[in-house]
Amino acid sequence: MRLQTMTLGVGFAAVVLGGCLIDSDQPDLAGQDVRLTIIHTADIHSRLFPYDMVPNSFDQGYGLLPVNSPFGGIARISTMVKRIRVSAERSLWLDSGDAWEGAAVFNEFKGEAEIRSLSLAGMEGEVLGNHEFDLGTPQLVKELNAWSQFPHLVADYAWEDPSDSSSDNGLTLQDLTTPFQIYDVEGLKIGVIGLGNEDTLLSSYMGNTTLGFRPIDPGTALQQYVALLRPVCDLVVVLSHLGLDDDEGLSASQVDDPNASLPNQNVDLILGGHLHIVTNPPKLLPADDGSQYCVNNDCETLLIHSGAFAKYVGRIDLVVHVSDNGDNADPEHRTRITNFAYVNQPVDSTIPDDPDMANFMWPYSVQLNQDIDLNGVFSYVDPPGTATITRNDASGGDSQLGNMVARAMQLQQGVDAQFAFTNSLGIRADFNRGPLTNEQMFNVFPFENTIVVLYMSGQEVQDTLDFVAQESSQRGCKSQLQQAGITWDMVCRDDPTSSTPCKSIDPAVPDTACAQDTDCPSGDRCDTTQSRCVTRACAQNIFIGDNCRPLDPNTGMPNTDAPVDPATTPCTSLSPDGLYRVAVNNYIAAGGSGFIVLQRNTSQQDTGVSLRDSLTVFLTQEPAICDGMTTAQILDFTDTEMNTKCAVASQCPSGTCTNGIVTATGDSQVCNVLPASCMCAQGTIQQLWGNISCLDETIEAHDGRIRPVFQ
Amino acid sequence: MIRYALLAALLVGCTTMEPEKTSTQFVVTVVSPASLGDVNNRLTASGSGDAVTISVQAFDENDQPEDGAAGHADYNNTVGVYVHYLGTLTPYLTGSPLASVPMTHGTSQPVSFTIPPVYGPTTIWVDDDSASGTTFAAGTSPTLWFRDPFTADTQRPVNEMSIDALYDAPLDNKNVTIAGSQYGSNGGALVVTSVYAAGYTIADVQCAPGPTPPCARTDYGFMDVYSFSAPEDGRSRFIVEGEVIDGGYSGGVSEFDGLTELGFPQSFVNADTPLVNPALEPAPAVFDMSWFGNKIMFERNESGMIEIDNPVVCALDSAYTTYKEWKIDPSGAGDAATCAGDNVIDVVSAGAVELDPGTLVGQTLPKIIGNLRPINIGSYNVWIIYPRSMADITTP
Repeated sequence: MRLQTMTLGVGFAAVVLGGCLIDSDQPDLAGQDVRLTIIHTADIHSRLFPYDMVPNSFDQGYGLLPVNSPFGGIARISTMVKRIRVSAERSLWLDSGDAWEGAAVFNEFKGEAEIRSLSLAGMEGEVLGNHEFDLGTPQLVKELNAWSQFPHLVADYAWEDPSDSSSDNGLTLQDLTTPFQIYDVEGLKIGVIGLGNEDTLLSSYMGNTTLGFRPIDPGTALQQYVALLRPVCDLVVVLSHLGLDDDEGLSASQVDDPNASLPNQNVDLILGGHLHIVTNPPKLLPADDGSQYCVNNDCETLLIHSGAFAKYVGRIDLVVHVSDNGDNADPEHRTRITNFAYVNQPVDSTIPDDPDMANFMWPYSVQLNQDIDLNGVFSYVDPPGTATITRNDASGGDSQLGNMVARAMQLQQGVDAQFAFTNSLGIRADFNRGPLTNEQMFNVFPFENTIVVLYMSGQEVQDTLDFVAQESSQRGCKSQLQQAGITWDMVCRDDPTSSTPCKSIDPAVPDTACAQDTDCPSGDRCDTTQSRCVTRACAQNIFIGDNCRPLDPNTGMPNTDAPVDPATTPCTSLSPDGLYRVAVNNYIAAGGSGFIVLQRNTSQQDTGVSLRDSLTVFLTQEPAICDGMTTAQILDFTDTEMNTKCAVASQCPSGTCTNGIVTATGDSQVCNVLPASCMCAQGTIQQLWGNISCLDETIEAHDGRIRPVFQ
Repeated sequence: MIRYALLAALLVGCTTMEPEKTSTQFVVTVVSPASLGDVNNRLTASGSGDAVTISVQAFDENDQPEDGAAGHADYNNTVGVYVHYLGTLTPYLTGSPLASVPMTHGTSQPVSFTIPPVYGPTTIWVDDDSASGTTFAAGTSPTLWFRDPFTADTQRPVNEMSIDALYDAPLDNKNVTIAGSQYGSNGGALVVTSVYAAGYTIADVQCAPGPTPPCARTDYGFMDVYSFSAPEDGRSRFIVEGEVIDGGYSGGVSEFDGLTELGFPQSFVNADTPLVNPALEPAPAVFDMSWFGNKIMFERNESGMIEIDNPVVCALDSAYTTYKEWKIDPSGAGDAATCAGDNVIDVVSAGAVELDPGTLVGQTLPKIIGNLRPINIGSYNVWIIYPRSMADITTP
C-alpha cells in the first residue's frame, strides 16, 4: 500500500512537472542577437578558504592587490556567481578542472569538501583535471557518486574494464562522467565537450596512480563529438584541461596543412586550464570553416584561461546571433558569436562571503583546525622588504625554497645522502613574509610525498640532469629540478662552435643515424662523431658538494654566474663510474614527470618520511636570528596592524614613537618610525609566538648550484 | 505521502505561473561612415579616433518593433555604446560607455560619438545597462573593416610628448595579429633579431625585393615576443635569429614595467624551409648621449638592437649581485659619481655570454651591441641591453 501511494504521488508530480515544462515556453530566438554570460573557473586547487599570498605583478595588473588579501575562498566565489547571475539573463558556470589538491582541506577530507561546496554553489559542469586523480580513481568515484550534483565531462579517455577496482557500489568513473553535455540556457542550446589532460596523466600513471582508463587523442575525440553536436547546438564549447599549447593545437592553424579538416572549425569557444594562466585579452584562434561567411568575416575560436587557486572568476559576456533558420549544420546560417567581452574578477577580501556557503563550510573549518592546527606557527619568514622566499628564482636556476626543501631531504635523519633532488613543480607556493604556519606548509606541499633513498651511478646522474636540462629548455630555461649537494651548468642551448658542445643523444630518436643537421628533428644537431642526433640542451660541469663556484670578493658569497674552477673548487667532479647515495621524492622516483632514469633504478628504499615533515623539522632547527637580530628584537609587521601605515606616530594605536623603535605601554604595541611613515606592529616575534626559528634571505640562498646557460 | 506529493506538485506548478520569457533584441545601424569596408577593402582610420554615427531599434522575439503600438511591447530604456576591436571591448562593460543612446518607443535618434584609434574588424556593441528595468538585451553593428595593425602601431605612443609615452602602449591589453610588414611586397619582412630562453625579438624591416639585404630599420618597428618557453613556430620548429616570420605573429599586448611585449604568442612560418639569413637584420641604432636628454629615442628603439661605442665599464654594484646587471658609462668617464647616476646603460650577459664583467671594470669597450629591453615605471628608467653572444661585445 505504501509503495502504491508513493507511485501515485510520483506519477501525479510527474504529470504536473511535465505540464510545467510544456507551459514554460522558451522564447523563439531565431535570427536574434542574444546575450549569454559564461562564468569560468579553473584550477581551484582546494582553495576553499581564503589564503594569504603575495600577488605578483601580473596578478596586480589584473586587480589582485596585496591590500585586499587574503584571496580565494568558495564563499566569496559563491557570492560572485550569484551577483553575475542576477546581472545576466542567461548564464552558465563551467570549470576547467583541478578543483582538487592544493590545500589542507583536501588532505583532510579527500575531495568531499570540494565536490559538495561546488555543487552547492551551483557549478554546472567541470572537465576532469589530472589532480582529480591524485588519490586514485576509486576515491574520485566515491566522492562523485556520493556528492556531485553537476556533470563531469571528459571525451578523450577510453575506459578500462568497468568491473575493475575503481567501482563504488557498482558504479565506475565511466558511469559518473559524460563526454559532453547539452545545456538549454533560456532557449540557447550550448553543447559542451570535456577534454582531459593526457601528458600529466601519463606521468601520474608512471607515478603509480591508479587510473582505470587510458587517454586518447583529444583532436580525434573532439572531431567526433563536434560532428555530433554541431547540428543540434547553437554553440559548441570545449571545456579543456589540456593546457594552452594543446588548446591552440585544436585550432585550424595557419601553418599546418591548410587543407586538413581540423576539429575546432566548428568550435565557438575553448575554456582552458591546467597551466594556471590568465589569457586576458582572450586568444583568437583562426577557425576558417571554408564558408562564404568566413570569407566575409574573420572566423575565430575564442580561447580563454581564467587563472588558478581561486584567485579569479572569469566572466565572458557573449553576443550570440542565433541562426535565422535553425540549421546549425549549415555554416552559412548557423548560430555564431558576434561579439564578446571578458574580465577576470579578483576573489579577494572586498567580496563578502555568501552566508549560506560560509555556514556550510564552517564544520569543515572547525574539524580541520582541530585535526591539523592550521594556525600553528613554527618559524618566522623575514626576507628583505616585501620579498618572499621563492620557489622560482628569477635566474631560472636553483631557488631558495627549493634549496631548503632539498637540503631538508638530504640531511633528514636516516637519509644522510650525498645530494638530493626534488621536482620544482612539487613545491606549489612561496614562503611569504611573516609567521610560517602549518596551513602554509600544506599550501607549499599539498602532496603527500615521501623521501626515497637510492644509489645512482655517475652515468645515471648525468642522464637525469640531461633530461632536466632538456625539459627546462622547453620552459624558458627555468629549472624543473631543485637540489642540494650538487652543482652543475644547465645548458638550455649550447654553442656548437665551443669546445664543449652538447653530446647527449636525443632520447626521442636514439637510433636515428645522421650525417648532417637536417637529418635531425628541429632543434637537434647531428654529432658526426657519433652519427647521431644530439640535443642542444644538456648538463655540463657537474660537481658534487656545496659552494662549488668561486666566491665573489665583494660579497663573500658564491658567484652564481661563474664557472666552477676545477683547480680551486672544494667540490669533486662527477665520476661516470662513481656510486652516489641520493635522496629523491617518491613521485619522481616512480618516474613521475618523466624521470624514467630514476624509475629504472632498483636500489630504491622509501623512507616513509614526508617531505612536508622533513622540511618542517629542518626549519625549526634554524636559529631564532634573522639578519643578526634575535626574534626578541624583531617586530612583526604582518598582522592586521601592518597595513596601518601612518604619517605620524600618533596614528599608531596607543603608540608613542620617538627616535626609532619605541614600545608603547599597556598593550605591547610598538611603532617603528620610518623616515616618511610609521608602521604599527603587535609586538616582537618572540612575544607573539615564542622562541621560534627565523628564516632570512641567507638560509640556503640561491647560489648558482644550478646555473642556466643559453648561448 | 499523497499530501507530500501534492505539495511537491503544487510547488512545481508554481514555476509555471511566471510570465513567459520575452527577449528584446537590438538592431544597430551604422549611419556614418557610409561605407563599412570589407575584408579586402579596409577603411583608413585617422589614427587619432574617428566619428561614428549609429541608430538603434528594439524588436521583440517575434521581430515586432517594441514601439508601444497595439500588441507590441514598448521599449524606453537608455542603452550604452561600446566598441569591440582586437579581441576586447573598449571600455569594458563596467566602465562608462562611449555614448548613451536614449530609446523612445523602441527607436533612437542617430547618435554620434568618437571611437578610439581602432584596427581590424570593429563592431559597435549596444548594451542595455539601465540601472533599473534592464532587459539584458544586447546587439552589435555590422562590422567596420579597418586595416590590421603593424608592429609599429603596437609600439608608437599616441603622443611622443606625453608624460606616459615611455610606458603606455597604445594597444595595451589588445590581441593583435601582425600579419606582415608595413612595407608589404615592397621589400617588407619581419626578421628575428635575437632569440633568448623565453622569447625572441622581431624587426619590421624594408629590404630590397626578395627580401634581399641590406634592410632598413624603422622607428617603433620592433617587438619583444615573450613565449615563456623556447620560442617555436606553429609547426613546433625552433625560431632562430635571422629567420623571416613570413606568416606573421599574434598575441596579447601588455606593457610590462614599461616594456611592450606580446604574450601567449603564436608565430606563423609558412615556408617548408624557413628563410634564415642574419644579413636581413637591420643595422643596430647607434646610441649617443643625447638620448638621455631625449628619452623618446629609447622608446623608438625599444626591443631593437642598439650599439654603444666606447663606453667604460663601471664597478659592479648590488644590481649585479641581485639581477646580474652590470653598468656601462657611455660618456666615457666611468667614475663613481657618473656610474651611480641615471645616465648609464645596464647590460645583462649572464648565461648568454661567458664573460666576467668584473675583469673589465674601468676599461673602455670599443663597442657593445644588445637588444634594448628597458624598465620604465613612471620616472624610474633603467636602460637594459642584452648582448646575444660574445660577438656583440668588443673587448679592449
